[in-house]
Amino acid sequence: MKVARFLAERPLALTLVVFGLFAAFAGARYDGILSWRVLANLIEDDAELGLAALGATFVLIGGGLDLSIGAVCACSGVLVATLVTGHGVEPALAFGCVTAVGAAFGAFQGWVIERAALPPFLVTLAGLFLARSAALALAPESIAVDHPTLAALGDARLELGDFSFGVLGGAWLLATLGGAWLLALSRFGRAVRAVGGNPRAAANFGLRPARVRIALYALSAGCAALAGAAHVVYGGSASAIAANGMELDAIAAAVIGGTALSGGVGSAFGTALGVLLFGFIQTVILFEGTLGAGWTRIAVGALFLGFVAARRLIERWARAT
Amino acid sequence: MASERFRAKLASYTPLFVLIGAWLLAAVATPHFAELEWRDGRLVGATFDVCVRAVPVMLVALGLTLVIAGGGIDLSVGSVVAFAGVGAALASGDGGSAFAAFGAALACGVLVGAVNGGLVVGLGLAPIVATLATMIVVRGVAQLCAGGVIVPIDRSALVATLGAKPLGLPASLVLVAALFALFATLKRRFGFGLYLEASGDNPRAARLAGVPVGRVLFATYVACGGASALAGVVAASEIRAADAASAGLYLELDAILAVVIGGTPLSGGRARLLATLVGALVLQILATALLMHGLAPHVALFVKGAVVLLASALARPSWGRAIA
Amino acid sequence: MNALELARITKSFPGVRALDGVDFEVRAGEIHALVGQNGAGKSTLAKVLTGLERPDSGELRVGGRVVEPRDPRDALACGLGAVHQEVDLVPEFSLAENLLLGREPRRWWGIERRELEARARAALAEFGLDLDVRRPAKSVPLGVQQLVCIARAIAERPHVLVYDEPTASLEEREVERLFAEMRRLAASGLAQVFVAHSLEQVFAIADRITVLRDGRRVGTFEAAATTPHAIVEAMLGGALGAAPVRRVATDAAAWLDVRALRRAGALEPVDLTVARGEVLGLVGLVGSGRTELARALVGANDGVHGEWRVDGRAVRIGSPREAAAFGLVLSPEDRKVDGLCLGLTVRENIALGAQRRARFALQSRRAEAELAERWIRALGIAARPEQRVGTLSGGNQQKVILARLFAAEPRLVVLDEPTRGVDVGAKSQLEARIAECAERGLSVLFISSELDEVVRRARRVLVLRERRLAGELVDATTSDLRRMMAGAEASPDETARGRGAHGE
Repeated sequence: MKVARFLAERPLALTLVVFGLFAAFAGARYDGILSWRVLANLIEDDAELGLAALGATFVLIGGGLDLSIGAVCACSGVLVATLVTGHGVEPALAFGCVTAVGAAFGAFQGWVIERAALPPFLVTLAGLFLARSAALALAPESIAVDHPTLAALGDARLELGDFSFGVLGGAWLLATLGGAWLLALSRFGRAVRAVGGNPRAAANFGLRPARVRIALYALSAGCAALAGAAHVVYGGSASAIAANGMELDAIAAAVIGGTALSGGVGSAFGTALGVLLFGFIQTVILFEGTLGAGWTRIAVGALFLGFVAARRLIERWARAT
Repeated sequence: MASERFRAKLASYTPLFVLIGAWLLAAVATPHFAELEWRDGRLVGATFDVCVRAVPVMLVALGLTLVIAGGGIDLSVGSVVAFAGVGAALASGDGGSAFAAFGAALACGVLVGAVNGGLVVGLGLAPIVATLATMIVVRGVAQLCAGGVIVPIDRSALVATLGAKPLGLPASLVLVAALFALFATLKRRFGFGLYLEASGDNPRAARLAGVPVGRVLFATYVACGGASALAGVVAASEIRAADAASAGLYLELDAILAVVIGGTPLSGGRARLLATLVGALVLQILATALLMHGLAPHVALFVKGAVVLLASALARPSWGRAIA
Repeated sequence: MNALELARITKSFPGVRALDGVDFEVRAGEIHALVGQNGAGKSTLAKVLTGLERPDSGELRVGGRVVEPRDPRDALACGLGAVHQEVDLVPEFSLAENLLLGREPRRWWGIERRELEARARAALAEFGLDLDVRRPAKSVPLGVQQLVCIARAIAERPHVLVYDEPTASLEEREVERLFAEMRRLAASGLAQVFVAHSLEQVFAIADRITVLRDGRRVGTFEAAATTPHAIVEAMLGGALGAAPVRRVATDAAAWLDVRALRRAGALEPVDLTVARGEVLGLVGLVGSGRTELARALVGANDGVHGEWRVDGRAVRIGSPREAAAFGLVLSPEDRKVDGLCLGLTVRENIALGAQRRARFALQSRRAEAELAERWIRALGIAARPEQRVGTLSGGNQQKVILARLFAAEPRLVVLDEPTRGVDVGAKSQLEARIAECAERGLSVLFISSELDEVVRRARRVLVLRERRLAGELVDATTSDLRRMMAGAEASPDETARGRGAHGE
């Protein structure tokens, strides 16, 4: 029963155990998979998803759901590409622009959810349609982005022995640190967790749940927009149909990282771990060579379902003892 | 009192008026939209196209109507469409009969439906969470079964069966009619509808009144899985191939939209099957008309997004007032 | 000077005047209990005091200053702290975070965790609680959570602390702990308002007791100078008298025999029997376990144990569906939450009762409509079959529930407060229908706060007190019932007869 309580109070423990087992299995099976180089690549490759998942984590902790993440990500990628190639805007300025636009779009979604008292999944579904169509309207075809600053950003590396660190990985790391600080130490983070954990108590103690949630949707869409910018830096191009279904991967990563879909629980580091586990599974499947894309989905979906179900069972167990 | 009753009656026909309005609007604004002729023993025309193209969404939305009426949601329908399509394609390969293909597809759909039902009813997970997870897993399984390739179903008995034109109508439309008849009969004639609507409206009261709420909700997920499987067969036979990666992608959104336009409240308690079909047709009219105008598909996407917000926001207050 | 003064507070809801010119004052250092029947207005008054409701008129003075709290936060700022029935903590937060929610110590880099924990520890130590403040709130027992809620309210240094049924979910030991804390706070000069159902607890803790009835203040009593008897008399509005209990045995044989019906923490083991055509009354103050008993009888709650015998045969009842199979149906206390599907029509709600017997046999809407119309006529429901139940008045809603129960062709209908919120005309109609049913051989378990209704209809009445069966009276008067509800001891032979009359 001590185990049950321990697991119920520390959702991340389960993630770590699964990660450890998985790494041990992979290490025994494939040579060289447990190397700094693989880890560095993992971080660099998953930065885009990591940024999006960070935003999704905040929304989930606040008791909401955002299905527009992938579409917002694609839209902002296209917007960056258009601004930089079409209008000669400096990349840094373009990044700032799309993040602001994304946040405004998210705030709008949040406002509709709170104002019309509609289910979040429905409103963000509509948001998905709107953002996706805006992206297609901006750029029906894929846009190649060729800009010296972007190229330099994409190539910049910080070598630490075997471990090399790119700009994207750095941005993700910084965002995760910032998210962790926001959640653990800021008043906003405390409000988010209180609103997700017990909205009635939060309201009784002077917090304004509606405002907090609107801010969360803005934050989530802002993170998704940043992920879109990261996509451009990473791939050197932008497409309106990119990041299809990314919202699911982001939510799955957050849940695997210990975020509760019922709200109130979650952490930025946990989500980063979830994203890494997600990427690690893809790497393993790549190493295996013969396995198709289906396995990634099955593994991620099964992990997602397994974590949700395990949490439910652990909670029942902890309550029973 | 009479006027109140009249107004209530009128309100229940709103989706039909919307359908007629949408059709008229499309017909006026779009050249050739209203044309319909009999050519080579079959109907030809945009209106007819709309009906045929709407079939997968109609099938899925019929199943989803039951789930939503019970206060749930099923996001996995799009993946089931892909999964069942692959199942049907594999079963109909090597000269397999259409019967085997339908059987395999239905088995896939019912299996997923039962898993969804088990997770929601048995384990007590939130429907949106459980079906989000199965949505991801099932598409993976579909891709796995397909072996990472697009499975062709050329020249199989399945394509012949669904290509048949009884009375000049495509078989897929007959399938929709049959499924509608089945669900409507279940709902109206066997008391299942009453149990379902009571469970969705107030599960606590329904349980106290002796309704087996859990079993009823479980059944809705199974029915929805089965309906989505049929949609998968139709979708696969239309393009003569089962594409595990992209078949039924975002279909759940269209289906939810059809249900919402039909006036089934997302909070549960009402199943409006016919209105759901109407909702699916409205969506398809919009998409077809915009396409005929030469507008890119993304405009239709935009319109859909706007319609979701409008339809649900408009549906909400009237429902709220009715129970206040 | 009084710490809290209320003058002519009035609050109306559509169709109800919940508070009607209530005056009320609480002295510093006093524990003041607020009691009354359901609907007497005490919870509305508690809500006015904690900022959850704003009064229509009247004046609220805290420490002599007029205040108008807009919301709970504002009430706290006005010096009115609150402890609610449901624990107001964020379950995932540590105790420290909960204690200082919204008042966290901060530095330039954010919340200072170590100081947060130190302050929380100090606040709890002041309370005599030695807890690890880093543990999440959900991991400590409910009683401790409730104490943390109080500690949090106290930390804001309120003038008055309002407890709204704080003991509802606590165990006996936890209640004692809470009371010890309340006494200590009283000694330090804090004024406390205690809203409660249990008179035993009220007399254990309160200095003064104010009784509300029908939205008005009936009176305020010094606890030391009054008796539970007098308080119940004031709550129920009538002299209890001292009429002797008449002992008459009922004749028909029992077909339903339930033994040791119980649920941990909610209902102590109760035995009861029901005869064919009998109207059995069940009374008790709110919180006495009468609703729990009604729900347990038809398997509506989890964790219920007991042995049911129907016609001498042992049966298992684990859900309302199984209960209905043996003819036991319930009209629940809260008809909007548990009783009706408000979005469905009258026809559908009534047909729901008949559905179980019909199984999945072919049904026609015409048959349903005929069934509905038959019951609409029989019970005099003022509604059309296709009208939504949510649009009906309380009385008609209750009749729809009755129609649903009768359509199931039951053997025993359990009616939990069927006449609450129902106007006088509909009330007498309902009573007449219940009597008719009994004449046709149906058994009725009739639960009501209106004792005259009970004695008019039921010969045999069970009395519950403090979640236990206090006794059984036959042909009792309302004053007999009041005495027993208040805790006046029945004579030994009386109780013995009550227990034994139907058992053998």
